[in-house]
Amino acid sequence: MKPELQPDELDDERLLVEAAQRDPGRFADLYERNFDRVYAYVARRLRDRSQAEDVVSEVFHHALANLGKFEWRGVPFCAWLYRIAANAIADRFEKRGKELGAPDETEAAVNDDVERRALLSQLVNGLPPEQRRVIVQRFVEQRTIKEIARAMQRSEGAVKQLQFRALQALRARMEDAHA
Amino acid sequence: MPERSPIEQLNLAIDALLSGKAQARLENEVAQMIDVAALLPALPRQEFRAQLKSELTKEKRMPATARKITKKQPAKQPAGHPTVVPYIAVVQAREVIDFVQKTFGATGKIMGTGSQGGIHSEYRIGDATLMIGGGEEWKNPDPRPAYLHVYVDDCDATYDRAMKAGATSLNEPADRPYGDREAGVRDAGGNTWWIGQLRNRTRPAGLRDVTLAFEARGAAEFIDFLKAAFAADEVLRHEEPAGTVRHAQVRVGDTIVEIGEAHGPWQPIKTTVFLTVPDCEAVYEKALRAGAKSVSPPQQTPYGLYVATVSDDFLNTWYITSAPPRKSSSGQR
Repeated sequence: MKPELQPDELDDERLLVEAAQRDPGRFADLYERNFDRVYAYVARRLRDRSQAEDVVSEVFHHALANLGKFEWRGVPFCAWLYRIAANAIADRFEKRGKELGAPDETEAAVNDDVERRALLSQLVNGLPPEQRRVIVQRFVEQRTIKEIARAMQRSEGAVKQLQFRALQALRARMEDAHA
Repeated sequence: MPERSPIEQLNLAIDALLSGKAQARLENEVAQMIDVAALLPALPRQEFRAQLKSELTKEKRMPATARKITKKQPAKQPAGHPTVVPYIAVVQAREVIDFVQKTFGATGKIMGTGSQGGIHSEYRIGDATLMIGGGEEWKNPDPRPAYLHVYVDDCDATYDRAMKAGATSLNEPADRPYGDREAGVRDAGGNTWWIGQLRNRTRPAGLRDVTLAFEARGAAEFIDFLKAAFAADEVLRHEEPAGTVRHAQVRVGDTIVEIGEAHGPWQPIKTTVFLTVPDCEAVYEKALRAGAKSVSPPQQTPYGLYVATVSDDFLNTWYITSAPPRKSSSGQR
């Protein structure tokens, strides 16, 4: 699977990869640039959060350890990370004697879904702090409105309103991005 | 039946989404928001993102061969107390003792009268020690409660015992996304207890059964202070995208403490820490150089310890204690 990048983005990425190969201290740039996509790719295959985190962790540790072997061929760096992730997921499921249900999806559909999830992750980080806290607590930490209200010292009504505004903004920005 | 507002409709639809129930018919705008909401539970945890970055950073900086050589060894600890012991000092000391006994099965005793007329007691919960002082006889009370994170085998049962022992609930037991089951209560003395039950993971090395936590205004600066004053070693740090410390663990001697940036109801409180170190004088001097203010210089106490007291810029008071220096040596124990 190859995420689509513009030519100037590809150039930037090539420079980042080369910099990280010379100085592993620069790997942080590649990590930040690719984390959301890799996480999205893994999380859509593995619903269990701890399994998904294990695999994402494995992907980046493996990528860092093998960065010297990576050859730039004009394909986004992420494609290499996806391949490591796919192998890690396959390994994990084979080890457990389970079959991973092969999703009946085209590469383009998978790519769109990963990009959509990665974008959403970035949009959540860009929300105003109170809206972001409500979204993270409600969906990622799965807290009730009552618990969030208590933690934020706000009324339940105010929390529901923040939740509404946050989702309204996320929906609008997702639409803009796909327009 | 009056029609529900879009805000209520959305909230009910989210409840259904999170519990896997079928959705009722929704207005168009709300339905579109639910399409987005359906992707949110699979978002990454920021703590995970930051922790993985931190691991990768360490891996880059320290090749395996170098890591062995440069890894800090925990400081040698005088026998007796762990390096960091929370010193809870509240007028409701006896209620707090009753609470820790009934809730956590704490064992210990009231040792006697402290320097300011109040009681002094020491209790153990698992491998952790708590000092509890004060009481109604305490002259000039200046309450010093603490934030405490306690690991238990059964969160729900411990929470029930806490409530029966008179605690106020802050958070009912709930499964957290990082796998733990957790609840929060406050005791009569104003101490906040996070009751955690580990699931699917083992306790991080170095964390005791009770861990002292700080909600600091300027958590990053507080961590810098601990490093400079007490040679603390940062174990992990999770940051918000804006760089605010959401959760950090820092090792002081043989004990890990938890630190987060103050927010919402979790604000800094005046906390006292009983610090046991190999050399009271050296640590006192270092703490002053790191910006601490002297409350009292190192001095011999009637109970046999050498004690200095300093305060930091984050509302904490530190009792720095060691055995008295040996006259014939260079001060190293």
